[in-house]
Amino acid sequence: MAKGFRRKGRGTGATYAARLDDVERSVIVGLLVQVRELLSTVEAAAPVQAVDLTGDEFDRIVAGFDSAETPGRADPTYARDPALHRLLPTGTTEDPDLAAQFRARTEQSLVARKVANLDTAIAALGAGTTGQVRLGKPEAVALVVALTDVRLVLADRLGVDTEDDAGRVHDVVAGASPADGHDVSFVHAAAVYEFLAWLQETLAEALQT
Amino acid sequence: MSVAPVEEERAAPDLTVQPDTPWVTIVWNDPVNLMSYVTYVFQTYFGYSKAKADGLMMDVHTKGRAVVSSGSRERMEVDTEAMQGYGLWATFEKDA
Repeated sequence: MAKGFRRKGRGTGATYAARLDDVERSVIVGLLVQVRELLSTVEAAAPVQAVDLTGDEFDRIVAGFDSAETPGRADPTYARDPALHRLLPTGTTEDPDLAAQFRARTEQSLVARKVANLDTAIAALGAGTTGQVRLGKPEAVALVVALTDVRLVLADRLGVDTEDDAGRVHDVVAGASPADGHDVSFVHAAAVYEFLAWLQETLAEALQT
Repeated sequence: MSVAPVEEERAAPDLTVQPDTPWVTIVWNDPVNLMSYVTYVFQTYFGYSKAKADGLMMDVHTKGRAVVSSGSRERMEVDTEAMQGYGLWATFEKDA
């Protein structure tokens, strides 16, 4: 059973420690890798580093639940996967020309920064010891930001567009409402989404103090 | 290249309206970002106090949006890109 992040020590020597079992850790790393791959479709990125992915069910979370209809990565429309609009939203809404200029000016560097940040988080969680996760501040910051990107993509796949949608996902996971009409992949992804929200909350709180 | 979104220390902006700084950066509510995380981002990037960051976060949460900075268009583009780097839903626009 996971234990959330807590800060140990103060100042530049502070570390952020949590307890994650191997399955939890590999789920998180697998999702970080998948979001990196999604972002790599809009950048001329270095090849994705080899990291062990977990079971097929995790592959399908980011691929989407209707994977038969997911276009291949060579398809240019894949670059406008709706999840990418959450990661790289329109910069200004009133002037389409200015929005296009902003995207042209910023998108590559924004993608590169997100990818580098995901790499830091992947390395921080991938290295290591069983059980205890202990991060320095740069790695903790990278992870809290990377968890946001993962949750934005999962939210798209789960159809979380409003607070009510988020509440419904919570209720399904909590067993407060039946999972009628949802396949097992949805329920699994919902559980992962809720787990990551909890973990991120503990890390954001630890970083604030 | 930094591995983290751009971080910098800045004094809290002067909230009085300045005719030469007519652009604003807006952060919009979304159902994904956690309240604690949004507060953390406002403190870290803008250097806002906990109280000010909490207040802006609550505006985002309850009013749907908050103006988080104001200044030149170029400056607001930098702030918008930074907020997007943190995964927040941010836009810039000319102040009405």
